[in-house]
Amino acid sequence: MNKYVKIILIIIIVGIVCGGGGIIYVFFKPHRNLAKEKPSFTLTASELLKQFGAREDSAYKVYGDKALQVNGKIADITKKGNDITFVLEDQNSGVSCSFDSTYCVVNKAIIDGLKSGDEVNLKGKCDGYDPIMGVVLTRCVLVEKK
Amino acid sequence: MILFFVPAIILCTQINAQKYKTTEGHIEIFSQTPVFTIEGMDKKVASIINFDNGEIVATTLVRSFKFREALVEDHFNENYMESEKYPKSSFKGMIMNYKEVNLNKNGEYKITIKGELTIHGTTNPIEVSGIITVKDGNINGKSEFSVSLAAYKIHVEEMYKDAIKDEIKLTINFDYLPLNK
Repeated sequence: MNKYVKIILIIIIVGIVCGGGGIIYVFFKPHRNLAKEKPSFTLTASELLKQFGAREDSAYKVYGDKALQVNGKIADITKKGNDITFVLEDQNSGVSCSFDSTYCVVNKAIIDGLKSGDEVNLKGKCDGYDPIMGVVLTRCVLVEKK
Repeated sequence: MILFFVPAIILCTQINAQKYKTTEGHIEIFSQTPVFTIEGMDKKVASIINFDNGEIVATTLVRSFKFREALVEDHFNENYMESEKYPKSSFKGMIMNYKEVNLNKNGEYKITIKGELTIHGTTNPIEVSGIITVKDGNINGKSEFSVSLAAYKIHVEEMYKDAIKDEIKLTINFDYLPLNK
C-alpha cells in the first residue's frame, strides 16, 4: 500500500511540475527583443519601398516577420500617448516604424530629440505592406542617429 | 468658355472632397472562456472615409496584432490567421446614413455600416453599427461587433475548443484626420 501511495505522490508531483512548466512557458515566454536580434537584412528605406512597390507578394515572402535594419530620413512623426511612429522617406506611403510604448517611455529623451528631416537607422520587425500605410515595421528600436 | 469651367469645377470638388484618413487606428480582439482569456491589440490600422459618398475602407496587417503572451502571438499568426499566407485583413463598405453626419458640427452621430469583411482570405458580408464623434474638424469612429471564427474558416483544434470561443469580439477605435492637411 505504501508503495502505491508513493507512486501516486510521484505522479502528482510530476504532473504539477510539468503543468506548472507549461503554464510558465505560455505566460512568460519572452517577446522578440529586436535590440538583441541580428538583422536578417540591412537596407535603405527607399530600397525597401521600391521592392514592396514593385512586387508586394515576393517582397513579403522575403521580408515578412524578419528583423530589418533600415536607414532613412524621417518624413513624419505621429505621437499618440506613449505610442510613437516615425514615417521614413515618404509622408504618405513610406516606411512606417512604430516603437512599443514601453520602449518610448524608457528612451523618451532620445526619441523626443528627433525631428522630421533627421536621418535615422532603425531596427524593426516587418509586418508587411499596404498602399495606405507603406511598409510597416513594429517593435522598433533606434540603432543610431546620423 | 464652358470647356474651361468644367475642368475647373471638377478640380474644385476634388480639393473639397471630404476625405478622412488614419494609419494608426486601433483594433482590439477579445475572447474569454473560463479556461483562457485572449486579448490582442493592433495599433496599425489604416482607414479612409469619403463623406462625399459614404465609402469606407480599412485594412491592417495581421502581424501587427500584439498579445501579452508571446506564445499566443505565435499561435495567432501561425495556426489560426496563417499570416504568412494571408498577410492582411480588410474591410470595404458604406456608411449607409453618412448624410446624417454633420462634419462642421461637434457631436456624436450613430451610423450603420454595411460592407464586406475579409479575414484569413475569406470574405463575408457584415452590417455593424457605430458612433462617429466630430470634434473640431477631426473625427473618431468607434464600433463593437463579433465575428465567428468558423465563418472565416479559422480552424480551432478540438482540444482548444474549451479555451477559444467561436465568437471573437472586435473593438474598433479610429482617430481620423482630414486628408491633405
